[in-house]
Amino acid sequence: MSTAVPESFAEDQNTKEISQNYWVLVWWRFRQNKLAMFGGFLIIAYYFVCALTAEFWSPYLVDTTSDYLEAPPQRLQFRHEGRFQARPFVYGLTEEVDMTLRKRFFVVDKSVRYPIHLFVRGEEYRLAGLIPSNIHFFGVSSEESPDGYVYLFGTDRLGRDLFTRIIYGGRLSLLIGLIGQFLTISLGATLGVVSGWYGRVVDLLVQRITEFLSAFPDIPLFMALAAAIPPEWSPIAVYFMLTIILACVRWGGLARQVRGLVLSLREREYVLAAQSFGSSDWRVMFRHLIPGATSHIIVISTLAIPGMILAETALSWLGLGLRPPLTSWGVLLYEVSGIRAIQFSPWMLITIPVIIGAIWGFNMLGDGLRDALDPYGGQ
Amino acid sequence: MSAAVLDQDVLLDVRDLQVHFDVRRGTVRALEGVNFTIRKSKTLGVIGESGSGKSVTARAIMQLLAKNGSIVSGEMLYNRQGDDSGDSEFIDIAQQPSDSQLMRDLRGGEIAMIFQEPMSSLTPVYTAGLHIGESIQLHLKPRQTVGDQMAKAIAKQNRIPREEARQIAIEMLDKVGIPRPEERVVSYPHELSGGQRQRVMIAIALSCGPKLLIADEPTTALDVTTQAQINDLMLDLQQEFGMAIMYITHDLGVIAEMAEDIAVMYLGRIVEQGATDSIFYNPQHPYTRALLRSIPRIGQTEGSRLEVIEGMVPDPFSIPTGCAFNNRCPDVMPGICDARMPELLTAGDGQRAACLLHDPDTMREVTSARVH
Amino acid sequence: MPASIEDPGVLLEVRNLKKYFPIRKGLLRKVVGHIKAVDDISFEIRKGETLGLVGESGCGKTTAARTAIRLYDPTDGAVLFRSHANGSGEGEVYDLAALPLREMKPLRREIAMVFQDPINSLNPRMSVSDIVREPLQVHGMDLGRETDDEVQGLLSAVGLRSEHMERYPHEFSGGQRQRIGIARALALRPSLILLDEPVSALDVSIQAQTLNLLQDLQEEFDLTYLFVAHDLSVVEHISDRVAVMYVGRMVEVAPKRELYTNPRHPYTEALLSASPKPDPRNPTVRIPLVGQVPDPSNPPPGCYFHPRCRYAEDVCRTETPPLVTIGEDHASACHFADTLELQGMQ
Repeated sequence: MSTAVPESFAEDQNTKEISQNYWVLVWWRFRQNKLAMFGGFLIIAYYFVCALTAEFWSPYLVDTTSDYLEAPPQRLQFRHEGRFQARPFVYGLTEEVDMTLRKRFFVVDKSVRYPIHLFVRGEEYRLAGLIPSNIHFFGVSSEESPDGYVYLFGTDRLGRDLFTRIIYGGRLSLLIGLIGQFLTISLGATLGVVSGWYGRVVDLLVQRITEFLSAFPDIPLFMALAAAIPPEWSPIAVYFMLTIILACVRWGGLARQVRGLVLSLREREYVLAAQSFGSSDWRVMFRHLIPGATSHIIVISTLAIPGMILAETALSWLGLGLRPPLTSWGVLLYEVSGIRAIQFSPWMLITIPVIIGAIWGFNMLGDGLRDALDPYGGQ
Repeated sequence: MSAAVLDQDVLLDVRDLQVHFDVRRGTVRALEGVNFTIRKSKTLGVIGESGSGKSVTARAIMQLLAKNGSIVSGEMLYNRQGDDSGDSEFIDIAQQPSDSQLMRDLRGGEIAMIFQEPMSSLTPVYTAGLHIGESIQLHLKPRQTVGDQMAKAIAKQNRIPREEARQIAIEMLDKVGIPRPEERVVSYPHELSGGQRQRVMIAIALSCGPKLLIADEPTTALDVTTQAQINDLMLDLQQEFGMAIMYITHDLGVIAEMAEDIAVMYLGRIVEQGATDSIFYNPQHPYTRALLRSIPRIGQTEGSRLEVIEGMVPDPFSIPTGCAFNNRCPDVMPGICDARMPELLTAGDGQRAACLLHDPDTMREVTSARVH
Repeated sequence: MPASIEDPGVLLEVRNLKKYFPIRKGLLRKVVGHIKAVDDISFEIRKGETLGLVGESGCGKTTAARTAIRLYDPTDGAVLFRSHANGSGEGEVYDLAALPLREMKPLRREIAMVFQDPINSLNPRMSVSDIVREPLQVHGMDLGRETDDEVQGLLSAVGLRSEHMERYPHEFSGGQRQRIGIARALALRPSLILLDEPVSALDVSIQAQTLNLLQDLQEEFDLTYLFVAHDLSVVEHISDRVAVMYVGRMVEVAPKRELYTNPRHPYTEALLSASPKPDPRNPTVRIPLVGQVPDPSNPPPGCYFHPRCRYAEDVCRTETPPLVTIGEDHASACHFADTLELQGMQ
């Protein structure tokens, strides 16, 4: 081909830069954002510790009870009688009764020390439901101090270790966020793309349903749906039902955003270009529209997961969601609802900063992703 | 403040203006020593391609640079008339903080600006323009009536009551050729056509009797016939109000009709400045010459190919050394143009060009080198 | 095929094409009116020529062009296209307006498109090689290695180097992106290319390069162009014939020299006089146009231009002037096309 093209046009402006595809660029941008990176690590840590390996990190099993009911948190000690100890330890607790208040309470008994060991043998469990093990990340050694105990966050009314319960509780709360959001995406994104692309009757229908859902007050809807769950259902079934309910109520927002996105993307000239050389609808959708919308869906979803987690917490706290014996962050908070609980076992509120940490992590991650997924400046 | 004694005919004298922007990849030297003069009641046309820095120049004069931009050096001497007395003084705008009382008085009062598309924000610009952060600072707010916005602007500048300002607004709408101004004064911007919106912007700009009107591509978003209307309107209003206009455009046809003087910009520098006639019929800088030859002209290009300027405008991080145009210049002198920075020197019909071909010292060396 | 074009030299013939967009209102999206974007236009494009289509924004030139190649379904009218896919000679004539969409696909190989906005018309997630290759894939013509050479050939034809193949659109300047779009348009070896304002978004110095490239490619690949633009000097430079549109209608069609020097419609005259001329010593005498372009959903009766026309008479307010041939190859839609003395450009 010997077209007369200005020779110097071939001159290259970008020799220094290596060509990068979209996702490499995204990663490069994301890495620059320290806060988002931290948020990302935090989220990974939360899911790894709570959802995947809760049994390993917690010193007890979730339903292990003890005689120490409503014991306050034990402080991790490093010095005993002014001397530094090679191994950190906790002091024992002694139960006393205050006759005027008619209340039992615990005092620190400095004569009893329980050294803390890492990777101690304790109760048997199956890691992630598969690998049998009895190694716990930390705890008191049953050989060294057979009646020892460690309650870093205190215990609840049944004498269960709060530290353990918070880690276990995160499993359900975090998974409900993830699974619920997954269902939301499947429902919302599919209906959004279809509604935006085909328009007309489909669009009309989807739009009216989302409007109806968003106009309906949340709490009564939850109450009605939660009441519809038969009480004889197993807690696990209730758990799944709750995720489905959350997804059913929340897909509308996502569908609406995806529809808007598809409406704007289909006006892009590259979509018209694809049609101009004969691409099918199917090809246009999968090759041009969905890849264009992916980054937005990821961002919207990341920022929506905290809402899911909080919804679970709120529902359970109201007694509409998960119920004991299941443990979730919402269930843990439900147990401290009431003045008495807050007055006599305020340490139960430790759950709140743990929840805030997860929410904050998701928000940092989502914000970072939003900035990073847009490296061409708004394409 | 007044640095040197300047001709009273001069309204604005910009000397060696340098503006830098800090972006992620480093520093963009958007303006690298810009010199030009705007005369009272005259129109200076500023022409250049994207990335040439023409809009940055306008924003620098208004002290409205984006946050990551700063005036590094240079002077912008503005001839300010005293309130009552006839005497005037030159003040250096470059030394005034953007939010100073003086700047706020000047902006909108003595110096007004109109933009390409007054209602919408910029569509994303992916070239150097994006990094240089040219963001539109002034909009017509879509939820306020035109009359309210005008009255507010007028009342603020002239320190008069709103109701009086409203009357002036109606008067101004009439002046800029909007039919039935009493009705139009309560319209919202979206009810106006593009041409009418630009007329309203001109009315707002002129309502405080500015001495200098900066028009940044005011007709680029408009159709040919509307463009003609707006440009004719600006010329008429210049007759009536006597303000100077700095008309920024990339369209050589428009500038030929509008300007008395022309400054040609390329990559943050003025490469040639002079009277419109000399620029069009006796251009001295190779860039100006090439630009004039590369545009299609009605009736003159029958069956012929256009002459092109080779290559493309370099991105702001790979500007060639020496004369910035040397890598695209048809008259380049290798070893000289890429080593030396040309100054603006008198050439041709009294215009000034920044080209080493017009530098007697350089040319003497070249000739003597050829002899030996 | 029942359709036929009499003149064997004509590649595309548009007959009485209409494209109305419904205006919907209310909860049930009832149709309350129509925007007559294209209102009964007819024109033809001859093989190997460039037809320029000019008009102001909103006049329907882009819609007309896109409807003519069936990117939009026409409301009414016929678009006859001479396909040369099967063998040589005069080819077969199809009515694009009446063809079922399924049967359009093979014809899409013969008609390509280049867009105004070189940013929006390239998918930012696809590399240059994927972009240029996509039309071939859609038509099942992607043959792996061989196609790589094909893509390289196309890129070099538009002045890009093979190193650019694996890069992404955002790494290119506006002019280079437009070249990528042109390479994509050439991929299926079309006979007709619709160029929709291909140089309007480019810098002055890049416009000239792109216009020259388009002319070279036209010669090399034996292309026919439909060139839609608003810039009269660009259209004059590249076109053989020029058609002028106003509010969805064709007002004048003529060979370019004829149209520019001897306009026969008052709108063309006003448009020419408004076009800025880079020649300060010989400015054009401007013909002022009063008022606004009418709303295409509610146009005035009679000639759409009459409210702004300085020659308008009573008949213009009531009767719609048809586009009639008034000289050799020159057609105008004005009641007084024969009698008016109009000013052209020298």
